[in-house]
Amino acid sequence: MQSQRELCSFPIAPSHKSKLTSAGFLITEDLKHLKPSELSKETGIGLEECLEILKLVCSESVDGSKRNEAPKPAVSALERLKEEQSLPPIITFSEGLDNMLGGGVPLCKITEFCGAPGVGKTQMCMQIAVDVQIPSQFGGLQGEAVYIDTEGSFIVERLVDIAKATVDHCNEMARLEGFKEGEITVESVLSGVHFYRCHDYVELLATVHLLPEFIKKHPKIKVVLVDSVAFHFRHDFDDLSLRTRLLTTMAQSFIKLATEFKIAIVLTNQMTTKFSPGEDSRLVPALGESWGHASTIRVILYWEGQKRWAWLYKSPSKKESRVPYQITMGGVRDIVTFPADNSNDQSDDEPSSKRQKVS
Amino acid sequence: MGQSIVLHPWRGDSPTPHSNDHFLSFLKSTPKEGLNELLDGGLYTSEVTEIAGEISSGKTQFCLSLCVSVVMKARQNVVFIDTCGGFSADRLTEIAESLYGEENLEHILQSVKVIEAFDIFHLMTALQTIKDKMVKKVDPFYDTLKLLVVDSITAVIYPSLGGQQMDGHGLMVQLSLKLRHLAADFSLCVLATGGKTKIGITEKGIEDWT
Repeated sequence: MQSQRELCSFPIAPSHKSKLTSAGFLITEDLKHLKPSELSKETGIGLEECLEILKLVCSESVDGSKRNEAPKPAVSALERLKEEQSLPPIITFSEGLDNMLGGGVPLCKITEFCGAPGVGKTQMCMQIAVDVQIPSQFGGLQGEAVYIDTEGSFIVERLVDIAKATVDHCNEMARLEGFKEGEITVESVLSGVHFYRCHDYVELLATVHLLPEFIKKHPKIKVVLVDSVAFHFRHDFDDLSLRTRLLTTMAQSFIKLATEFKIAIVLTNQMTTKFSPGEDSRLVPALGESWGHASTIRVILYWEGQKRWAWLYKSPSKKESRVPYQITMGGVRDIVTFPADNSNDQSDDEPSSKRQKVS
Repeated sequence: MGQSIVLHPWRGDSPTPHSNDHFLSFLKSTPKEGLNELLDGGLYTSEVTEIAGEISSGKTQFCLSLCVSVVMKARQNVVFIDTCGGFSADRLTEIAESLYGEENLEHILQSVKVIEAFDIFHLMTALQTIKDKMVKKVDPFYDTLKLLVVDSITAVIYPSLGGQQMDGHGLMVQLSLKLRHLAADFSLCVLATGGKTKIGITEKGIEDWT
């Protein structure tokens, strides 16, 4: 019955499609016993392209070879459950955040962190780039990271700080549990982060396009971080429909990447102001509604009073919730609160002005 | 398309609708009966129903709940086509267990098949495969298939629309025809989710508000 499928539902170039249609080839059956040279004569399409079209359309009958582009077969939800449970998430160092996300940043999904400037998106990315490298004996993934920087906000010294704190933490745990120390060092962490700097949206799209090949060569990669995905798409875009098209194509490339290589994709997004008739303006994530559907999980980071909060806005399996967190010298951490204790809290990053005791 | 439902998330801090606007709103505490009334009895087979809504309004959750209902109440199978990575087997398990307990869990999970299709051509291939299997009747799973969910349909259509190329609309129409034929020829209930900006029904008719 594949022979009854219309030719226009195949990924053939529009110019070729119109030539095929005007020559009278409408369904797969019409092309069945044709040789490329005959097809070329009838339609006026070049010989090589005809060969490709025939290979694409009649791939089932020709030597039984599988197309690279063939979709995966249907699996039952039970098998999907087993698959999902076998993939561990990437832990951040904030227990509150991990619990909110269901263990950590999940593999095979796109997680988006949105927030105003200064709230900690880049810090979060750097934390995740380090955390993915935690050795498996400590519950980590022992993987590598691809960090794509579009804003220029990546500072290596900061990554060194976060790496040092994580390495110290791991060595501490190794001491307590009797494992060998030195499995993870600051040098190994830095060399496990593959860094790309993209200066405009074309470079970003090109990098994303070339990622599958790169990941095949570096199978240890377990996370791809893009900080931020909004930057190049917000300025100088006159044609908004082109922007939507490019963004949604990029989103689909990301989800294909995530599911094919079983990696996590982490994106950061900026905030923009939305004006509604008759209502106050409010801050919403940038890039519009169509982009909002692209990420599987969306976390909005915001300030309330003196504290930073993470708000799980969209998730396929977890309830909407909010947790406070803080950025310390060593990276992203929980806010430690002591019940009715008069001793000082040890958060280094809180502003030095007088603050209320939190209980 | 057959019927259209728009889901509007009700959040405590969002402004209340104005008196002369109608949002087909879906309060999270509304029982299923309310929705059935809204749809004039429920979701129909041989029809394509579209669920549109803002981000996080509950479209995927609605689809998952429906999958469980169809398996247990109608005793039929479900195919879930995931185009955006939003399917969570974990969440499906949670819903199934809470409604029907652990003893029915395996049966429910075996009765739902998941296909991944991240672009429009893969989706068309997947739909063609489903059609072939239903016609040839070699796979018993497809003999009792009643619900086909595509979540979400805008994820695969948007990359083709807009810009300089004009073939996007053609592909979109192709896709919608394929879905309608599947629904009509095999008496399936087809449910497609999509994104939508706010629409309001005012004196001027239906308006699209971004």
